[in-house]
Amino acid sequence: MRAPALCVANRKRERRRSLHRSARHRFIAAAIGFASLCASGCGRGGADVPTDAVEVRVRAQDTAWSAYYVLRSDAGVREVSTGREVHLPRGAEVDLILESRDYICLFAMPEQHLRDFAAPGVGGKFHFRAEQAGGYEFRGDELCGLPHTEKTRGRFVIEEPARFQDWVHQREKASR
Amino acid sequence: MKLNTRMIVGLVVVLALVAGALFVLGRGAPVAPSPNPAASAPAPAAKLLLPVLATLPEFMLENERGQPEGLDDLRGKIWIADFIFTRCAGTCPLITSRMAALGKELSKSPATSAIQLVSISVDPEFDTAPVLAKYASMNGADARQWSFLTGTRSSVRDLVTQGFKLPVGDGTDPSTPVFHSQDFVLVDRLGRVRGVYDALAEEGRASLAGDLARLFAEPQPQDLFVPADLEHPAWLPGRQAAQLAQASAITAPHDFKFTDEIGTSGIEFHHTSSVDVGKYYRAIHYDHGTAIAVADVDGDGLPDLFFVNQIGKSALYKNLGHGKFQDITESSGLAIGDRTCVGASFADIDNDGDPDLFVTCVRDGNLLFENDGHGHFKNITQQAGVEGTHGHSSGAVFFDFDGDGLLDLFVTNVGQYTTEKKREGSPYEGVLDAFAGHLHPERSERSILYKNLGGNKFQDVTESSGLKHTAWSGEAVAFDYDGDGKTDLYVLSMQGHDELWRNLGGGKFELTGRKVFPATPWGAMGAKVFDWNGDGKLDLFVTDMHTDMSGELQPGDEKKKHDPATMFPQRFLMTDGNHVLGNALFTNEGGGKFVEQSDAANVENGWPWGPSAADLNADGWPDLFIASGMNYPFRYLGNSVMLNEGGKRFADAEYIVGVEPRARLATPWIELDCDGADAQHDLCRGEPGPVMIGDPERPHTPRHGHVTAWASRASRSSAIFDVDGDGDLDIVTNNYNDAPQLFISDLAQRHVVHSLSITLTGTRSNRDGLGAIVTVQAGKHTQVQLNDGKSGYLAQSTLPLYFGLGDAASADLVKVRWPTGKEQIVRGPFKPGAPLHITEK
Repeated sequence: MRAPALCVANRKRERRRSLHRSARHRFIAAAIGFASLCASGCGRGGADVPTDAVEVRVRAQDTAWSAYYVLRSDAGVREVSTGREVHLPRGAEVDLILESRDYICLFAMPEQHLRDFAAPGVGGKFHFRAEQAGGYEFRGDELCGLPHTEKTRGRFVIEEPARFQDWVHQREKASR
Repeated sequence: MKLNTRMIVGLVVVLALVAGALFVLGRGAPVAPSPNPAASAPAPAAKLLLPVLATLPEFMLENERGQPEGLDDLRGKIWIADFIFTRCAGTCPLITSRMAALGKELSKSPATSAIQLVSISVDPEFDTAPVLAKYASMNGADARQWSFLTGTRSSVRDLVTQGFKLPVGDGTDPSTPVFHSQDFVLVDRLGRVRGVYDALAEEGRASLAGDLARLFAEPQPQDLFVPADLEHPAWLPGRQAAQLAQASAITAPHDFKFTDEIGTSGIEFHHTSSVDVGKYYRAIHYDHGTAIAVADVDGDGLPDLFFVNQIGKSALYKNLGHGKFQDITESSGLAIGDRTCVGASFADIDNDGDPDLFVTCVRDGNLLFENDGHGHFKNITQQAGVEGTHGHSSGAVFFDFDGDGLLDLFVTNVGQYTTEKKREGSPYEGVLDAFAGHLHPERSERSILYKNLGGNKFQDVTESSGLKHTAWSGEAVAFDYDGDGKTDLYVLSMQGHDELWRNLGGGKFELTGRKVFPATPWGAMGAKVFDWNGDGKLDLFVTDMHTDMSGELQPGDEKKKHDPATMFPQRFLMTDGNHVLGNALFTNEGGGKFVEQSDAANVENGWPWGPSAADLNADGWPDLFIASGMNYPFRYLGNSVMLNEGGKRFADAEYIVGVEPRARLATPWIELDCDGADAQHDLCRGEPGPVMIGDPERPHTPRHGHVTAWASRASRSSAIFDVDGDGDLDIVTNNYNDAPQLFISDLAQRHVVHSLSITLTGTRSNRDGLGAIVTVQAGKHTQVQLNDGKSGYLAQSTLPLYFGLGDAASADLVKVRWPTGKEQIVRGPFKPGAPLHITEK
């Protein structure tokens, strides 16, 4: 198991806010838990869908989470919607960015003890390595005690890079 | 009574028509609310077969069982009303016998058995609940079907004449003291009058039968309970039983009961919420509710009530004695209805011996009213210079920070949680991420400290005092935490750390940071300073609402501190993360040091707003009432009563003393015309919206027709005082989007109550004596109270200090430490019951 590579910017921000020590440990521990989803090794995919590094935006709007791959190439940046099922190539370095366009939305992976939030103008960011193949549930956790709907629930699927590329292509085709 | 042939025929006809209508519509059992309205078939376009003759106003009366019963309790039911009085020798017996016969016939069919019968007494002074209970029994009334309502003379007459549009008045001779209608009135599920029928005429009763069938044939409104088990939550009976089973183990006296007598009190106030919290639900600070404040505004020796409303008029009720009140809002000059208000603080700002009133509001400026001593108030806001910054003001605290004998004022401003948009009939719309406001420094609003200059003028000294408080704060309490003779200020934060501002003297304050209270609740809402453990030092109790919002508060979790694993993410807290994860009870160890003992004292509860502390059982130990709970779309929770077990801990007792559960847990919250203007509303579209309704895996089915979404009832603020003057303490609440509760205690009827009521008059100190510390010694037991006027959430009241004396026959000594620092000792013995007035010497 590898320690998570929390993004540098995030670390600086956390330091500035003088996190309480134990709480900070919890935060890091949560991210470690998430990283432990992964095993080792990763493949490299096709030219337009890299599999060694993946950027995913998980966006909250109208009390729902929906996810998008951010694909960067010489032609520019494009987003590919993947709904609430986020496939990831095994072995990839993953940037997971939380954002919200309206309400405050909590993002949680209870089994991984991971919990963060997004609000308009206040996003969140995780970095981890997708190592162990399998499915991992995420959900919008309860802010203000509200029982959230299925629209805030989804899952990550860590799979072989080739299958991941197929998935992205399917999603791209479906969204055209 | 025997049914005559035509009546039997009429009822047979109605049952046949109803059955026929049900068959035609294929609706099953329309009388019972549909458990899964989402799955119901689209209704035909709303076509009314009967005219709407009138729409009943909100009312609250009391049934023969002594429970409040009003329009909200009858909503969702078809009901038939009549008007009678028990000592009526004329038509009433006949009307009642006709009603009894009608009830028997209706109960024969499942389709009509849920139709409610309601007999309203037009002689309410004589027809008390016990009198009506006897009358009901004599007439064989089944309480499940037939209720008998009483109230005050004015509330009943207003309802009959203005609601039902029927006559009622004083009779002309002693044998008929009241004249009234002899009609049956048919009311539909939405509280609309659909027919009026002569109860004594066969034609009238036949007409009623026919109209009932037509009413059933109309598209029926749907009732949607959110959450689905709202009316009968599975956890509640077990909770109630468990607490009752523990009663014998409680060492504090608990053999007394509260009864909600709002229905016969004459209080007709009904709180109305912003649509942001109602129809277009979003999480926003509007749902923090509004205040109830108490003071004797007209100098008659009886404390009067001021209810703050969110939408519509606030209301002032004159105390008539014996638990009866009269609305004097208009004549008092306090008919505030042009703005959205929050808090209310009574205090004598000009030391002229009467309580003046400060009211906080959202966006439209705060208000200060001077009392002329007779309960007439004059708006002096502009002249006094306390309008504020047109921000989002909340609780306000009068205290004398500079010791000049004039009450100064601290006004909390929460932060910018609204936009510039307005919906019709509602205040400014909230921002979507209101509870992330603390993450945006640009949304913060500075709270304001005003110095009282005398002559009804105030000066904003926020800047010069150093008390520059910008946290998201809605409440504050003033007390001398370190015993240095200067009153300090503890300011709560509902999204961050609370802050203690130390009074340095010379008009200056300094922030103590985390030195005194390293860990505070993150979501603090209300507070009370009181000596809970009887050691003579003033402790601080703080309720924490918002921490309970970090995760779904499951039944059974209310008494636990929040699980750190599901606390808000650190980035959201924006603090050092060192928090009490729930209510905090800071026990004063002296020398400005406190230790947090909430768990040991058992004062955790769920969704708390503000606490009121007072000696409910008069045993010499202060108890707690915590107004608690949420509304749409949350589950029911209820208020908390905690009895003080000799300063060792508190025992939960809300079910034991009759405060919980409410007779009906739900209230109508959202009215929707799903085939019309509201077709795009989430609930009409069948979307779960912000809440989970039904099975998430099933496709959403649009709803049609009229939909009423029901929500949990919940209180926000409370005040404790002797409402009916019988020597024990009663409780009045202000409930969100609902009628208030008026809990009258029967302690004095069950026991000889020994208590001492003390009123202070300052001479060199402020005339209210705010800031004085009063010690009462009775035998070996010594009690200490701070006279801070803090009666409950968002409010400050002018009330006598109430000291229960337990078994002591008298109090031996009273010591007052005035705000000037001077101690005054008054020696007894003081006999219980007689009010004690102490003037500063």
